[in-house]
Amino acid sequence: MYDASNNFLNVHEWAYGATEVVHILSLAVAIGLITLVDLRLLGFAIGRASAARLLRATAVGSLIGLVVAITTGFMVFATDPVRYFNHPTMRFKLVTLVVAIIFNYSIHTRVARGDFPAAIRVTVASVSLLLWVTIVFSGIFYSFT
Amino acid sequence: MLELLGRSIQDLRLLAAVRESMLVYPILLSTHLACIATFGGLILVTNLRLLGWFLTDIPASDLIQALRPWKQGGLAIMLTAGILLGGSKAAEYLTNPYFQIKLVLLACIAVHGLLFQRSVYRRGEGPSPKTARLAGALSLILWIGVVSMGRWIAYYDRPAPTEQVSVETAK
Repeated sequence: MYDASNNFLNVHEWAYGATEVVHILSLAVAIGLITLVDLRLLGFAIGRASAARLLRATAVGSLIGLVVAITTGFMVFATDPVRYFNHPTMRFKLVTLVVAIIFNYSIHTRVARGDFPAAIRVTVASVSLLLWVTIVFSGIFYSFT
Repeated sequence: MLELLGRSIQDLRLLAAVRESMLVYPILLSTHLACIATFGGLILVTNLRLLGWFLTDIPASDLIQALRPWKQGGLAIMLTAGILLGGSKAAEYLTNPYFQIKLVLLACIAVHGLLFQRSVYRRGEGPSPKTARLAGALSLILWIGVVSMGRWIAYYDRPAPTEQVSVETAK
């Protein structure tokens, strides 16, 4: 049986804090790079770069950011898995995260690469930003609800 | 001294309301974090470009110019939320060493912006690669420091006041 009290992050407080810092920094990497593509999709000029060009340039960085953020997220999750798993706000966050990842690597990628009407590009960028901001909000609201 | 100053700040009606509200405090904190993620991420994008690590076929000055209003707007929201959050617990925060370091680092960021304003951020024909690299690296380090210290505020173990009590009873 897994015993959370022996978990490294529970034993070493500095490691808990360091994991949270890496979580915040890596989510800023991922979401910041996705925001850059979304600004372009919303119709704002980023130099002369197309959305497809920006997506190509940011794809590896945002993937690394996401992987690190999810890894550190689950490291924190593992310090008290039962409480996290049963918490409605955390469940909401995890479901939104799954939706955001699927959306990002299907519709978002396709629209950024392809030639779509402005209305679709704006909608997709708005949904993308809304999903990621919702995830950040639910991460904070978790500790207040 | 700082504690007293902090008390008079946090007793302001607005800040007391923030502290006591069940909803406003988490909304401000979420907004602060969401700004770090989106607009802070754009700061990171600029720095990575200045370092020459990506988007090198877009002139740095184009990227800086395109992202400037977003970063400025985001910074304004981030600072407003941050001031309300810190202000609502000012006595605790001003005496917290990690918060003090965070303030110093933010001051360094302001100085950094002024220092490189003409050579990097407002240079029409684009900064020289060497200066750009230096500005990007410094900004990156400072911002990582600010975010880290922001999180570390929660980890400060305030020395227990029991020592003072025991000194007094010893007398």
